[in-house]
Amino acid sequence: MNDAMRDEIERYLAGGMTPEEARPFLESVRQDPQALVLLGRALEDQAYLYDALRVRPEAEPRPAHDTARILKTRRLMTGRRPPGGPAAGWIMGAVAAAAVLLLLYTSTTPSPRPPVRTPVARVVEVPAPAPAPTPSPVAPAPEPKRVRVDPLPTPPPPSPRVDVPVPAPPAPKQPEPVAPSPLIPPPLPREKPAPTVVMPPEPPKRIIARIDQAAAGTALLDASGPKEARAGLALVSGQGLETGAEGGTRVRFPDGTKIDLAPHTLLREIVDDPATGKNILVAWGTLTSEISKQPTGKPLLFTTPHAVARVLGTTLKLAVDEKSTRLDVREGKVQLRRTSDNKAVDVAAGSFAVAGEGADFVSRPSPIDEILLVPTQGEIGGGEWRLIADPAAAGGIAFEALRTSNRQPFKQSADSARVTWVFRADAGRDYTVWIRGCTTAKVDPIKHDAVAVEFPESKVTEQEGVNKGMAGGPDRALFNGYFMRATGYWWVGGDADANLDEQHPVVVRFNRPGLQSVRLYAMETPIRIDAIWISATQKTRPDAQGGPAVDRK
Amino acid sequence: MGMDTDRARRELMRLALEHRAQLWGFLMGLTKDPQKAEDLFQNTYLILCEKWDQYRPGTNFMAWARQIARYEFLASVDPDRRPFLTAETEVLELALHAAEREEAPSVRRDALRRCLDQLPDARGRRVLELRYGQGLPGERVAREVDLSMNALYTLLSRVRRALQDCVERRLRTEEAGA
Repeated sequence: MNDAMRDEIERYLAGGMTPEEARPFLESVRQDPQALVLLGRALEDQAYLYDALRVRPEAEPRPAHDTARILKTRRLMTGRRPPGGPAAGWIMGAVAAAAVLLLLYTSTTPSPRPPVRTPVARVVEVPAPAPAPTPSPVAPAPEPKRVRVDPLPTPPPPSPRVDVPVPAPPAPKQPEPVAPSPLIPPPLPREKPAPTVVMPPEPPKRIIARIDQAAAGTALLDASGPKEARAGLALVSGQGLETGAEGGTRVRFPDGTKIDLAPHTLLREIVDDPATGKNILVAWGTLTSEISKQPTGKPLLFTTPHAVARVLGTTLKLAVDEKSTRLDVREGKVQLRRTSDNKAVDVAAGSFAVAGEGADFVSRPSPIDEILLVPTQGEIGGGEWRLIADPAAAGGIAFEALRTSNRQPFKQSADSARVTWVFRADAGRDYTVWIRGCTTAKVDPIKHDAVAVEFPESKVTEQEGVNKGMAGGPDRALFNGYFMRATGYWWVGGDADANLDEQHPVVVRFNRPGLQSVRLYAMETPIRIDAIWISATQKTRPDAQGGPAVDRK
Repeated sequence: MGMDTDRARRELMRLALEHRAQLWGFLMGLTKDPQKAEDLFQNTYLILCEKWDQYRPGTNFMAWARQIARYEFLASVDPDRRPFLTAETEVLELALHAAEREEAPSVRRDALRRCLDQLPDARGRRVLELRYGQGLPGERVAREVDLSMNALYTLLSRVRRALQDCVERRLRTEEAGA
């Protein structure tokens, strides 16, 4: 950090920069992590300096509305009782001092009134009843009793003025000519009226996208200020979106491109120019996006403070913080260009790259955290399993086994009936296995609710219990107890009969990276399975309807 | 009112007090005027209190509070200036986020006060008093202490650096002594 940058920060903080000077200065700070930290600390220190050094002449009481605001704040936060604890000291001190000053001022100084400032709240104060005499030598000043504080409605932003030509009014009737009076000066000749200027109407703004879902606290941003974002609202080019503490906000473009925003994400601007294509300016936060194929020569751009991602059609995740931008590509290919040196890398499916301070700017394979296997991806072998439509299943489809020749302990053979899935996973990581299913047995369901899974050439860890080893090998595990919780589908993490899977679900560790397989065998029927979730993050049983979303076919 | 409601309000109040300096500093950075910053801070604080039930404990309080402060600030300025100011708020928020530290804000505040008391540079102290104590704009401060604007920025930069070094030294000493 050089001294010139420090001096520039001081100049900025002291208000010594014009907007034209501040713009490149702020951009250079944005690019320099050290300068960002320095500016952040200077901002914070200003508050401490202000607290330590400020001078408030006693002759100038706080404006009434300030006092009311503090009082209202205290009431809102604490109800009637004053807050306790040292942390609240400054508020209490300010409240007490301001209330005393206000009362002294209003009782001793009838006029002139303090300068009127634009009120931010309408305050009605009613004096409290006179306090009963107390033996205390100094009676506390009565606190004004607040009965109502109505915030004044914020005036709407001025709408752009459009002058509409109207028909000229009929000419006024000419008065009869009268002789000029010597006492009345003759009327001045009328000035020629200025020609009416009619502003051309603004061209209609093109709707570029809609808000599909809006989480609470999401704001729509444009030049007129923030507004509450609601589902169904149209977005025009140039508007922005910011999410609050909740995720679940989704934007959908007419071409099917979707952008899902995580909590605390700011899209400064969403632009869709017919000539150049879409450009999403991401200030910070995390988004995931499925991008439909974009027109040739008009890639979709995600522009962050550190890089620009050019996308022609893919599924990706973008995470932006103050130091870096990370791009994970799930499908397709994306070019990521680092802003600081204009270097670019191509990030292919299953890979990621980071642009930012201290990060090698290369594409690497993404870690695989979640694997969801659904019936449409499985391959049936043998005659026990079949694919059925079931509206209660997660994707509307399930595998069903009505009978089985397998017995416990399980001894599988090469022709054992099974369903096989092939997928990618990392080696040397612990994945928890969750299988979603249900039994359809009406009688004695406890004997009709088990399957076994096998992860060939991998290490599978089952929980301790009477059924441990029933699946017959170190690469297998029993999933049992589908009748236990409900009549419908639910997730089981191993032997659920004694709730053993709650604390210690089945874990699999793959010996080699890349392609893996899992086989599903029926152990007790009739049973239906609609999903297998192999997760590096989900360590506890998901709710019956929880887990990753499954598309309905 | 249930226990949970009480607890949530207390938690919000605690967070608001704990992060007061960052919020106020953010608004001061935007307005460059202590009185305006104070007014906007009070409005922001009031809105936080009114919307306390929208806050979810465990989520990023400062992000939420800064969002409200930013809207309050943008609502207070000329609409024509908003596009540039939106970019400015963004950089200041990034800066505050980048400067977040592990120690409680009160620890740094106390250290800064002690360092301020020991500041050997009388002219530097005078400049801070004029700027923050009396809320004078930069050019008035420069006039009062008979400095050119550039000399004022250099002096402020030097004083702030001295204070920061002193604060860091104190925090390290306290940490080692703890």
